[in-house]
Amino acid sequence: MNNVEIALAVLSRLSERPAAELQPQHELVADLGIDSPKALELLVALEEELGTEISDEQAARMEKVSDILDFARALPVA
Amino acid sequence: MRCVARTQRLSIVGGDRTAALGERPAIFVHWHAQILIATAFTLRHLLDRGRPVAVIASLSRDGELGARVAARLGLRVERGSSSRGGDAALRRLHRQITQHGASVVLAVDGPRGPERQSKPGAIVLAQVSEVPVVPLGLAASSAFRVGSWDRTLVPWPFSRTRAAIGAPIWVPKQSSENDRATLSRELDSALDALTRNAAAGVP
Repeated sequence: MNNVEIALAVLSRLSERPAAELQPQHELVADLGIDSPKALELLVALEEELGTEISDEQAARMEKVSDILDFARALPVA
Repeated sequence: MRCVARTQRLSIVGGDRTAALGERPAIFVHWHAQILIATAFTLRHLLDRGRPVAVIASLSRDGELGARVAARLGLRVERGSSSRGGDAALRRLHRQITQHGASVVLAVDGPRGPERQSKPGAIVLAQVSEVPVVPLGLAASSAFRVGSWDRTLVPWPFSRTRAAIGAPIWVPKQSSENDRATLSRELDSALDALTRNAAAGVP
């Protein structure tokens, strides 16, 4: 899987929605119900499965699905 | 710091509660004003028993000093706070718990208050890491208070100090924001009650 696919899989698992249903404009909190604990789990999972660290500044910019996919897309290919 | 921690004549109430946890990590929490007594507790009741312990130190200059001291005492230090760098620090604390089996010790109203009102991080961390929050009430027989936001207690050397360990608070995995708010209020009440308990036990 490439980084975007990995990120989608993580989002799907934590939002409990099939990846195919996730839209770029979906907001993590309002549309996917990602509250504080889920956000912590999400970021931990993204860091572990993408093999990277997410700074607080980067985390603060992750409000929609597209923000996470853009982040994953920008990572160097392993 | 080591001198302040090591010269306290620390007694513990509720030590069976940590014994009951066995090897399972926990998130030990206390009021920030009691941090120097919490340090003694951490060194003598947790670290000295071979339990890895992680703490958080703020990104400020004071936090840098605290971080260096904590590291020299053998603690694992993650940098951040509720006001800056907190989310990344929580993630690293989560990893300390789940990957290294470390317990965590947190001043829940830190780094700058409001005094005796816990921040949500400990409850969230407990929910995600599936370990309990264990409240601590701490007091000293003889101490002075510095002019900080919380008037931190500095026990005089060789003073009697007491740690009252409270019942573990588990945060169910499916807890809602309302559930967490209720648990936070319970935690605040427990910390105040345990502090009174500890104070009553030191003459």
